[in-house]
Amino acid sequence: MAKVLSNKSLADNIYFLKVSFKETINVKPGQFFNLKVCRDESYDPLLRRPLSVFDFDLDNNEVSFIYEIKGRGTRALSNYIKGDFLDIHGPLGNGFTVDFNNKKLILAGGGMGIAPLYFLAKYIGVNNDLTLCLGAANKGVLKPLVDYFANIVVELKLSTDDGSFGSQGTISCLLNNSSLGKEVEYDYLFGCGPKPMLEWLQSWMREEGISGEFSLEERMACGNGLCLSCSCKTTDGNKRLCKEGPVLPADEVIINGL
Amino acid sequence: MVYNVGLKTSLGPLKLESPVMTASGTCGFGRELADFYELKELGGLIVKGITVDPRDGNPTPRIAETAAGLINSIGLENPGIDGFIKEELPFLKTVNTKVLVNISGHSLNDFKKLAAVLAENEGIDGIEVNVSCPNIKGGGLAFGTDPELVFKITDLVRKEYNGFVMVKLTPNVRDIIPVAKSAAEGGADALAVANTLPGMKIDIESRIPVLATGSGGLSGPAIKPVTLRLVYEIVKNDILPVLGLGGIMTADDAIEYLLAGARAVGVGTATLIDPYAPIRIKSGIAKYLKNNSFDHLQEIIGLAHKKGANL
Ligand SMILES: Cc1cc2nc3c(=O)[nH]c(=O)nc-3n(C[C@H](O)[C@H](O)[C@H](O)COP(=O)(O)OP(=O)(O)OC[C@H]3O[C@@H](n4cnc5c(N)ncnc54)[C@H](O)[C@@H]3O)c2cc1C
Ligand SMILES: Cc1cc2nc3c(=O)[nH]c(=O)nc-3n(C[C@H](O)[C@H](O)[C@H](O)COP(=O)(O)O)c2cc1C
Ligand code: FES
Repeated sequence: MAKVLSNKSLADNIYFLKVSFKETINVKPGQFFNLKVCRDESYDPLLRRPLSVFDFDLDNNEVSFIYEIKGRGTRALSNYIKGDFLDIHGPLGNGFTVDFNNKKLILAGGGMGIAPLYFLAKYIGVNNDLTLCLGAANKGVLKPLVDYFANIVVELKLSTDDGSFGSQGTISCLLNNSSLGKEVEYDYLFGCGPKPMLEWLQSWMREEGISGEFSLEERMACGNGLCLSCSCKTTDGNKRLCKEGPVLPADEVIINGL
Repeated sequence: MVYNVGLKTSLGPLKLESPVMTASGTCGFGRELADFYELKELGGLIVKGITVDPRDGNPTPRIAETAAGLINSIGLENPGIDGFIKEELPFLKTVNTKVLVNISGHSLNDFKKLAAVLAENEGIDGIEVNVSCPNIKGGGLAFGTDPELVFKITDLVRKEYNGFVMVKLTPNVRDIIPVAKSAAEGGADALAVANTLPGMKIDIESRIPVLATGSGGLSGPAIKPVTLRLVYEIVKNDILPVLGLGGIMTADDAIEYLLAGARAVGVGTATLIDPYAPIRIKSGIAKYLKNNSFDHLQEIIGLAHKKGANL
């Protein structure tokens, strides 16, 4: 059980949720939690909803999330208020690789795929040189997310589909455009976002010879490796995104493989 | 917690320390649940459906949520019988609970082969035969809808395998009694009642079904009244001992099945939402027995038949 400390709207349909756990927990960037959104003895919505950790405060056992209202489950979640208790499983999944030192790293996030990159950037930003490429549909979605990143010193490159904030276009324009600097050799890329974005990133990374990893999404019934609803095809066989993932080596993932 | 009530039960020749088993496809091969509690706490473990050859499973999305229900079309992703024997059986041999292996086939020969291989290996306590899968030769209709085929499959499995055989029936039939009787005639020791009901969910934005395969099997609280009634009906006809399952989320749900005459119960979807559900349900049953001054689980099995029911 976790106690809701805050659950507030950041923009249209985008919420920030902060909870505190009584027990001591340890969370890695890229891990996720599975939240039960129905109350007490209700069975509807039946399944838990997976959300990536947006931020983690080790000293106070506090975890934050940023989520978009998509359907019944996230809408139900948005009705929780400060002081309520939430039945939350986690941390779950493997999380990002974080043992980098003095490396030039790209963090590429699209839409709600930006959420897991904040804790990652905080975590690895101290010892590494980060370039963040963040894209979303419009300013309304991107601005509130980007505001958090202003607290940590990183290079930010922004794009929106409608051009209302940053460059107009998808993440691809940020990475392709000369401002990224061909003279800079990047060591590794972290990507999280919609499938078309990851597909594009995968081929771009192959062209540029950059290795990296993706945080992936699939519908999950259990989050504990029991049901195989979250299988993702890879060059190394099927992987359960809730157990062996959600972060997988970019080169191994076969996007839309199943 | 100790309630000092008897929880032992049996499904024919299979003796169980307690009545709550985990349902096939919702407990993997036991490894993940072993991280949460000792598996001996369970009455038994019914592992993921195994086929002759390894299967990658269906395209995703493989699940859709509906009102108090879950529709799945996992497509029997599994390592195949040889992979199972090599990778999963060694672990299952170490667990201190009853282990049943769920087998699925697309032809009669598949079932025969699976039973034959399992007969050669030690370390399992029985076979659960899933007859809900499509019969490729029969135009894709589920085996379990045809009493004749259910007899043939059970008979084939029985002849290959000496141990405990339970046939898991599909609820997707007009009359379940002939199918249940066929399984008994084929030599089954018990029946699992029941598998999922066919269902669909459509995404009104994309205007296509949510599941990549279009439709799948509905489980969870939404199906409980249907499967509970089937258990009652089969028990009334006194065919074989029954494992009751379908939508059990709480001890109260499980008790309904026991009152309907199930000798044990299976928990599926509830374990996905909370891995501790089977344990919670087991202690809830014990508490109910204690609170109602029963000394033993066996005293409540079938009590709901006293008054009778029109079926
Ligand atoms: C590991 C992981 C981390 C995630 N992190 C975030 C995050 O930080 N912020 C955020 O806004 N969203 C995140 N998502 C997506 C989020 O889980 C879905 O948007 C949410 O479950 C939708 O639920 P709903 O009830 O609003 O929608 P509905 O359409 O009513 O949901 C129906 C069912 O589909 C599932 N579902 C629908 N869309 C998705 C999806 N995109 N991914 C997985 N399951 C889905 C639901 O969980 C539910 O089981 C994450 C998903 C995964 C798998
Ligand atoms: C994700 C999932 C996978 C399943 N896989 C199998 C399977 O491999 N073989 C089988 O006989 N039943 C399978 N089932 C059916 C369950 O074992 C059970 O009969 C059904 O879900 C009803 O019980 P419940 O409502 O408690 O989940 C599966 C169910 C779910 C939800
Ligand atoms: S969500 Fe059940 S195995 Fe991953």
